[in-house]
Amino acid sequence: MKKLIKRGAMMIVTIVTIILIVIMGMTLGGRTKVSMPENMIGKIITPIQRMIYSASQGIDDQVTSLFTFRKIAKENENLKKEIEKLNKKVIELTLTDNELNELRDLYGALNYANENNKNKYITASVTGTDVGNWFDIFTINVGKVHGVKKNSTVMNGTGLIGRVFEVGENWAKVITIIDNKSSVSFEVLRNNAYIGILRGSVQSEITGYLIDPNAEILVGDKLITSGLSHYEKGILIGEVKEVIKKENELLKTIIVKPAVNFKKLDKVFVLMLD
Amino acid sequence: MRIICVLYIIVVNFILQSTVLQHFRVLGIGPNTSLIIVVMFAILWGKKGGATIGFCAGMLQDILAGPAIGINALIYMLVGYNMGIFEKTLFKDNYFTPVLFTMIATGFYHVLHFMIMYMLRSQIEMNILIRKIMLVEGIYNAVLSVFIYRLLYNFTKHPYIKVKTR
Repeated sequence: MKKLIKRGAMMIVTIVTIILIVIMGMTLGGRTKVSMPENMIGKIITPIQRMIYSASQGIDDQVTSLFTFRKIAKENENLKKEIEKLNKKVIELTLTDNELNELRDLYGALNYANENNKNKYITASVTGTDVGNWFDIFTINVGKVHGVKKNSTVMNGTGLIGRVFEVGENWAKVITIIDNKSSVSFEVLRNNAYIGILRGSVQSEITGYLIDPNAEILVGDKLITSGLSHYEKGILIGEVKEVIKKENELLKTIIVKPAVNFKKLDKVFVLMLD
Repeated sequence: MRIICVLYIIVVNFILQSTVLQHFRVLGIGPNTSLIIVVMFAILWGKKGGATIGFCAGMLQDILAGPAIGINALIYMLVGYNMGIFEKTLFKDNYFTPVLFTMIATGFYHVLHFMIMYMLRSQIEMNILIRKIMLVEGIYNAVLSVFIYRLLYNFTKHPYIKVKTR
């Protein structure tokens, strides 16, 4: 009898393991709709998380500003806000300049509905981040009720953050661009003929390569999304920090410093898909 | 009563871990208190309790922050079960036990995680994983485990929580 019970525990663990592996395969890559119990759990826990997250963020800000000179910190923040605005403006203007002629030609031929919807977005607050050290995923407090869909682009004032990965009723999971499971297609702002692909890694670092082996890329070049992947076109990703050319490889590898500070995320925008 | 208390601990731990503890990252690595709690319960209550608590804690983590359902649930369950096997042969009064077992469990967690992610086609380099994540997290977890073990040890001695322990 005792032996049977012992074996029973072993059997249960084995059966649950097999079931979990099947579930893993089914749910990998995010779903457009989560199941009922998950939704319930998310609904209950996300608001509590939101409260504690903002409180701890506030305390953290206070403590850090105690150590620095207060006035300078404030001034710095104002200046940063202005830089953000200006940066965005520069990108928008450069883009418009590049695209204006093409668009004028296309305008008559195509129904350019996409352009009008470009600025449709909703703001969201971060409720909590992933607990482990493997992924860079966080949850936000908007969901299906607010019109968020899977693969909607998520950004803030400084640049691209990631995309929506799974949607609950009033919460959603966002996977960031520094996660090792996400990749972005980019183009160089200086010359939009140079396109390539960026990938995140375990160490929260972005590396990538250009598709054209002869493309000239310099340290300090700004990269924006090209609109070829899930992400909307024309969002700042970051700056090139390092260009590596190995002898036995055809393509140049680049290391990118993201524009967003992923350690301090609070308010984000979710761009609406049509 | 016992079940409610343990669930309460798991949920509160998850909320704190995903919000407050993110500000206490050392070299970009945060501690994994869920894993520590699973290991501690496995040491105190044996393999069945360890496996069940591991499953619940992992499921919660997967639902609210994870790329696929089941990864953490599977790993925590196996960790809880395997650490619980040693329950009957351990001295539970010294602090060396939790430290050692937390170190082993952290290594076990990352190796299993690496295997699962390899099967799910993630490209992760093994040496970066060992140098940058496993070492730091192992030490961090070991330090925290002493305090958590003291709390949980007192908690399990509470009159209405008490189960038969040797």
